Amino acid sequence: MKSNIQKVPPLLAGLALTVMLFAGVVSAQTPSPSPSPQKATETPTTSANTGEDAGDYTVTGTIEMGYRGLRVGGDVNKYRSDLNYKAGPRLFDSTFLMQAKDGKSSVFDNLLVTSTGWGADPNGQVRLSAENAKWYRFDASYRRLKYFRFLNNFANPNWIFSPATFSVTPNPITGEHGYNTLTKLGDFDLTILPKNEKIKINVGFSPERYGGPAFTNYHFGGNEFNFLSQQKSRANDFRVGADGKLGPIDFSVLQGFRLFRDDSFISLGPTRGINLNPAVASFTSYNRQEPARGEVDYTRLSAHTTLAKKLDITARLVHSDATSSFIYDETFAGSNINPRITGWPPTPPAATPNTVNLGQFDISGRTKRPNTLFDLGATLMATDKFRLSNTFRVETFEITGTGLFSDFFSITRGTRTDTFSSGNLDVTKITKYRKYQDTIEGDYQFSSRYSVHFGYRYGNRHIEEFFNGFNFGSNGSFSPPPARTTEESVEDNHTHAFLGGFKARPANNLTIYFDAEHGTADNVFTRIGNYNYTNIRAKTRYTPSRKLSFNAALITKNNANPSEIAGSSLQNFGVDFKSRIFSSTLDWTPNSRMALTGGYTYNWVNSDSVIDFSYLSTTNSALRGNALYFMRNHFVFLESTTQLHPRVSLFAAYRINKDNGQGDRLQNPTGSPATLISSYPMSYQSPEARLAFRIHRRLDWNVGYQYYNYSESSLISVRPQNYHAHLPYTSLRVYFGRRE
Amino acid sequence: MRLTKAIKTLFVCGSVLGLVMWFASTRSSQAVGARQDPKAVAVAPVAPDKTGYIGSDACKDCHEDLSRNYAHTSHAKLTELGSWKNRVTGCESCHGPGKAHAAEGDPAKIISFKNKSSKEISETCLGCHAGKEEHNNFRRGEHWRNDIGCTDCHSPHQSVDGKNLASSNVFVSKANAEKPGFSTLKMLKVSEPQLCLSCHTEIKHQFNLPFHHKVLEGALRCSDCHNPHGGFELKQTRLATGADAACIKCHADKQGPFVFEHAPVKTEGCVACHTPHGSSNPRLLKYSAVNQLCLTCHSQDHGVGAVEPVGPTHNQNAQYANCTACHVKIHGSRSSPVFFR
Repeated sequence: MKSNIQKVPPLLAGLALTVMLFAGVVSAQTPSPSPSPQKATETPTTSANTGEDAGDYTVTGTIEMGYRGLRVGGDVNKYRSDLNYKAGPRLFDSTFLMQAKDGKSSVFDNLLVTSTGWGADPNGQVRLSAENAKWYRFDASYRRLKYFRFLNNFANPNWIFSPATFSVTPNPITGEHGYNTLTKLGDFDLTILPKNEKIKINVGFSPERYGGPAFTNYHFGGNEFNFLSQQKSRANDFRVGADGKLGPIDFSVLQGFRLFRDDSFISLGPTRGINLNPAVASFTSYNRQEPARGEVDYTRLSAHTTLAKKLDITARLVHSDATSSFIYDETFAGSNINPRITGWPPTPPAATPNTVNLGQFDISGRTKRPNTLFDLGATLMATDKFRLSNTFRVETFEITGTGLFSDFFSITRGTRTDTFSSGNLDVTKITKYRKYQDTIEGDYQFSSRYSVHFGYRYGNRHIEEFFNGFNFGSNGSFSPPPARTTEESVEDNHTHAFLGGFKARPANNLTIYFDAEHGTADNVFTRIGNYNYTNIRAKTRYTPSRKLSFNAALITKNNANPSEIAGSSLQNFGVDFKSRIFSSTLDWTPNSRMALTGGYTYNWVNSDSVIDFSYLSTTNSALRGNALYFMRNHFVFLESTTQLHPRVSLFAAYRINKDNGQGDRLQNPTGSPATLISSYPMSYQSPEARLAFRIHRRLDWNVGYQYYNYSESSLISVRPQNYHAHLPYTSLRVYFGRRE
Repeated sequence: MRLTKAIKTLFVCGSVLGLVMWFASTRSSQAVGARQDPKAVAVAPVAPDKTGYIGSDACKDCHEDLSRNYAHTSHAKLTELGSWKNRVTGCESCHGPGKAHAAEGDPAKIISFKNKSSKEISETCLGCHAGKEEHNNFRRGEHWRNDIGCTDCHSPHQSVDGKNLASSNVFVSKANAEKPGFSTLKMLKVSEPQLCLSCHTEIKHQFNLPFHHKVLEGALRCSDCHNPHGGFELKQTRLATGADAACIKCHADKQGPFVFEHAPVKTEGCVACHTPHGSSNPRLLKYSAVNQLCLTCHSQDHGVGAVEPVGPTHNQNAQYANCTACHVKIHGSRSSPVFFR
């Protein structure tokens, strides 16, 4: 039954597609009545120069199908994490457009179906749009995303960490957070009376299915365990609403209901930890279930009006009520597990070696999160050239999570067996958030070629966090009983930002855009956010002729967050983040048989954060140092298409990303000053070529080859995850309604 | 809870029913007397002889190509719709009365947009489109602010020539130039993402990095996450499921709510830690080393939130350099205050 339910989205998509296509074909095959003399004199209004005649419709479309080969050398897991293209039959892409000849028809005026990435590709999508302007519009999309991530340099202490203290051979195969999951998403939206000015009715449905194996890590009992979990969740989002006009007010109402459930679980037999030393913890069985259920009810109201053609006002209110509840049940048996219960098991004998006959955690809880968002925007069109706008926002949410914890342990040491249990340990965690923000801005149009804009934004945020109850991270305490704690913190911050810019078109073929924003703040919530910053963006487009165009952009960001946290002035305790991006592209089409495009982008990032950290220390003391991150990425691409012969065209391309990262800098975690340095020096290149042979007006034969080469520095990992991949392919592209 | 839900459902259904009934009554009244709304450009009453309007058919004689393409646009279909009856639709709804122009062939006798600024052109479009939920914040959006107008992306006549040509932003082969697409229905000049990247050139390299959202591959469109017509959100992102960030639409497992939420996920947003378009760092993280990313906030304990990790168990040697090796549920956990499970 469940598997049938999971098939609902593709079934719906398929059904909708079939109905539409069938209806279209039936309609297309219906003989057209003989035109009346009056109509015969009218100018035909068939679509453009393309399209296959199909009764009342013209049909235009293409579909490309073929086969791809694959040979990968090097790290296959990294290849699959990046690309995951497989060998086999493949639907490259397809498009299918039916348009009513006179612009309207009884079933649909337009039907468009597009798809890409099916077969041996990891990410497939199909979209459908059908419209009869008078009665309905139906938009549907369905996506299938295969997510594969197995990386040695991410969450894999098993490989990176020196094995000197471990009895385990380093495992280079996978990190602890490996995923091989599948996500299926759909959106189905029907609008009734889509062009009606007075009212349109909207109904929609978005299902989501997620599942597959994934690894997770569990730091527990004195060891680390790499668990294989089964991910399984689903959600259904239903919505209904209306858009329309009531007197001078344009309104929009939407009510949605989202239901979700998570039934991921772990069920394992004997499981060794990363440390295989028999004196440390291991499981003989482990089971975890954490069924969660939830729903989100949301309402969106918006209204818009223009008063006296001078004042444009938009208001929007969004409110959502999210709730979730869960039951967490974990049972295990094993040996030498440290129960981490203060004062237990009673000594003598020593806590280990031991046999855990049963360990169990039962946790249940419920969370609520009401969230309200209100926006009000107004623009005064003071003159034909000058406009003044104000946008105000208030947002509030409160997350209230409650949980109830209990555990049970039965441990045998020698001939002695002890049991321990605790129960009804409760916790409440509350996060309250309130934000006000107001932006006032103006823009002035000097002429059709020159305009400026300027503005000021004020923000105020208030965040409260509150904790009351027992520490669920602890498994209790034998004596004295676990203690209840209460903590709370309050953060306030005020931000001020000034913004401005201009657009200039000094010549018909030259356009320049510039804008800048400078912001300050008196406090931060997370130092990684943007608080004290200056962002500048300049772009230009130069088109000396219809055959040649040139784009360039320079984007700089300076972010130096204030060095005060929670009202405590901390000297030199900021985050200094700077980035520079220079980008340029060139498009040249010298004639109809050749097109050449290329570009270069340089991305420069420097990040310097003052941090406290522990490094090879046996105490709780921390070092004060700097965390540095560098990016020096060069991206170059060159792509060309050439018609070698009236029936043969060649597409060739080369793209490379090369990041020099931190260069020759080396970190010194114990130095003075102490530094942690990270970067990702690597190169990633992908040349490709494709020959297309025009066999017939309706048919092309393509043969192509793609190559990927990934190479990373040994700074990333002691065993670089380099790979190269050869992907030859051949395909046939069929056309409907192709031009001669 | 069930009662509240039932009331809400009843309210929504009742509202919808009421609106339908109100609409039906409006249509009935229209049958009695033609309604005239003197406001928007496209709502002037049709009185061809007296007002100088001549109708779109007259335009075909000289502007054949434009008319042919225009016939398939949504604009052209309004003439047939009941709610647009007795209004000026077609060419003259934007270009104004055409009788004098048609009679004399004088370009000065018709509204032309050739020398108008982007904002002036957009104002014409907004005369009808401003009220739509998707568009009603356009005058306060990033594109407006930087003087990018409707016709910078849309072709109101839907000219198909030159569509999807090869360019530096997304290479589209000659074969692709001959296929229709989303652009056809939305009257875009070229398809996404080629259209967007023609200005946002700096984003292309991010979509070519090892880890990226599959936009160039066609699995996603820019407009799936961003509303190009403006909006109240930063970067004109869309909202998912009420007031959640756009990312939650697909990454629903991060939605929560959780008993123990990692507060910045909700207060700062996903981009506090991730670079959404693409990155060479796994998980699209801002930094390549997870510990440095975390320590940027988790230094100097300040309350319930960003606790400073101390002690031998948090040694920043290689084993513990990835904080998320142990803190696996970093976006939020139902059962562990330190995101262990």
